[in-house]
Amino acid sequence: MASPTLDPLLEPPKPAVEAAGLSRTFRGGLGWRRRQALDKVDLRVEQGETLGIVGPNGSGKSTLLRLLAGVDRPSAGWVEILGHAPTARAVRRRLAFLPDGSPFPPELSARRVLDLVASLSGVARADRRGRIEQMLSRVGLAHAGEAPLRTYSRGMHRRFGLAQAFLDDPEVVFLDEPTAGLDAPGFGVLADLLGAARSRGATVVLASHVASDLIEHCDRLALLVDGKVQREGPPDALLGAPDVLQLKVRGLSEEEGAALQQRAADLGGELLDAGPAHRTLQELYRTLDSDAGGAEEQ
Amino acid sequence: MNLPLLRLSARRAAPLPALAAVAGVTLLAVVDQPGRAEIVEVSPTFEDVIRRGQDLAASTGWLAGVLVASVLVALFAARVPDRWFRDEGDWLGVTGTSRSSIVRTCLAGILTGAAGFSVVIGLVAGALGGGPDAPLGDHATPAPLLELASIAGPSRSLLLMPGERFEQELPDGAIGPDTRVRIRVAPALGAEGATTSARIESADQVSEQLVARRTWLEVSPSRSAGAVSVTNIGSGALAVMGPRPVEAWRLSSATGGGHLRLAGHVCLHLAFLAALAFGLGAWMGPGIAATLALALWLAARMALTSIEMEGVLPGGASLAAALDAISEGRSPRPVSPALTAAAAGAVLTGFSLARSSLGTWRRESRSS
Repeated sequence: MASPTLDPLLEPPKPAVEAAGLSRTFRGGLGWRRRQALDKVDLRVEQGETLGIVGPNGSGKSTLLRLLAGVDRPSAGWVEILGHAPTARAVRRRLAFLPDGSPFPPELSARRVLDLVASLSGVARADRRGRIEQMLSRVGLAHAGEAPLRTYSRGMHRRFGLAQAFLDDPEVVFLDEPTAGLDAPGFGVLADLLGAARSRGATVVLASHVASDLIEHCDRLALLVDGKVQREGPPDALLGAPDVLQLKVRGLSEEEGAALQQRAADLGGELLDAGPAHRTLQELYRTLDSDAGGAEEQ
Repeated sequence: MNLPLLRLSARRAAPLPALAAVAGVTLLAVVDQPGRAEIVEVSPTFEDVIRRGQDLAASTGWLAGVLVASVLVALFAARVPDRWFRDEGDWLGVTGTSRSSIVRTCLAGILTGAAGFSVVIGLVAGALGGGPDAPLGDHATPAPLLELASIAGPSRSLLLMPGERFEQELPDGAIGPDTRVRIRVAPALGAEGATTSARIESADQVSEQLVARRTWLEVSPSRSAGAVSVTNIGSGALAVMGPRPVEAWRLSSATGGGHLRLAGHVCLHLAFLAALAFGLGAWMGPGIAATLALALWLAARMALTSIEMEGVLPGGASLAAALDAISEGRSPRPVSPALTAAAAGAVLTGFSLARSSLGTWRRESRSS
């Protein structure tokens, strides 16, 4: 008797990332002391979704990303990326990983490392050069493309890491501490790359110990503490304070500001904070650029 | 095979400063080499003693170069898998290339680096060593390039008292046109004189020489010679220095004065060590892996020597003989199939060890 088959058109799309009961134990000391880095983590990320994993240092974020990317094996549990094991060759050509730190060959130039990564990922030789130049320009490293990676600053390493992760337009991207060491324009580079990835339907999983770095990019956040997912949900639901109203006002005098605060108190609200707002560094850099542009025109 | 990864591995297995260091060590030993090193006639003159000493210095210097290259190659090879497990596995492991392919490519790069060291040693030996075209004095003509055809004789040394004779049958086919037969001898204690004289005979050729130190007695017999003999015709004792003191040398067709063959011997030796160190480096720290690879080679050499099979180990007696031959302006023997098979076995072992270690790209004990 023939087994029943599902019509592929009726089959629901597989999640981009799915993990269940994921645990990882590390041996310490002489081998008999064990440290539980991850403890029965369940995770599901739909295709096209961006998930942020936040948690304090040592909470297991990097370990979790390594397991998801297939560079480490879980002690227990399983992972599937696009319906396959992350170590399956068909999957590895469709995923990318930005590891923490700077693990790339320090003696090679950025162009050479990107060429190496692209060739190992199966990018045709004819396409490589164009893609590499385009990506180096995108992350703002075109001027330093021939310098050995060992001469890079921390922020440049991070930009380079982003370049290698997004080089081949991956369908699933894992980014470990993508904002670490990034300057304000670097945040813009990250936002640009994430925006482009979202627009082509890529799935992104980011990990950071600074939640504010991820909020604007993520559809959902997962809070990882002591190797366990403690909370999960949309950024507003997880980090929002519904009884607190934040108001930023431009164009009021000091007296008018004081009157506004008084009005809030009259309405029964408790004033938590008030004072002149600060520009972000990125906004400050833009001011410098526009000042320089004006001087050149004169 | 991925060319950029192969280039990176080769560069790491043979970085330029290390190549320069090996070239420097090898060069230092031959800076005073006067040219051709072949001794065709023994005499007690001071010049010959100096020349002979310089032959020894050249051979020893090249051996020092090989030793330095051995240590460096083993260490550099062992560091490649160590880098995977420290951090590079984080990006190597997510590429679309299979683990077997990455291991294969890295190993090929390491072997390429080992070949680089071999070429450096071969080139230095070729450029400054005693080649067949190097002139011997102002009136000398270039000597034909010879290579070892056969080696024979007792496994232990023999003592010939005045008047005594030693005869060794030569293997069939050992004697051809321009063949030379030589026997390793030295003066010994036990008779009146501190030195002695010896006569070497083979068929119609006879030569008499003073033996004042360890040296070779040499004769060029006709094709029909079936044996060679040495007679102690002096007043001192004469030692025929084993093991297997009788060598037959024939005309060689080796290109490049035999230096390519020397590079081949060195390359097999370094490939053997590098592959072992690479495989072991996937399971332990690079320092320990390199030391263990060198110790295993040494143990294998001692074990094979004890059963008189040292010729099948890359870097064993065959490499020493190749260095000696080059220092005398002669060609080493080509690498034998047994040597090649031994090196290939080490390469397969290294590959298997490294591949089997790659269940995961992470080792928490090595995390940087």
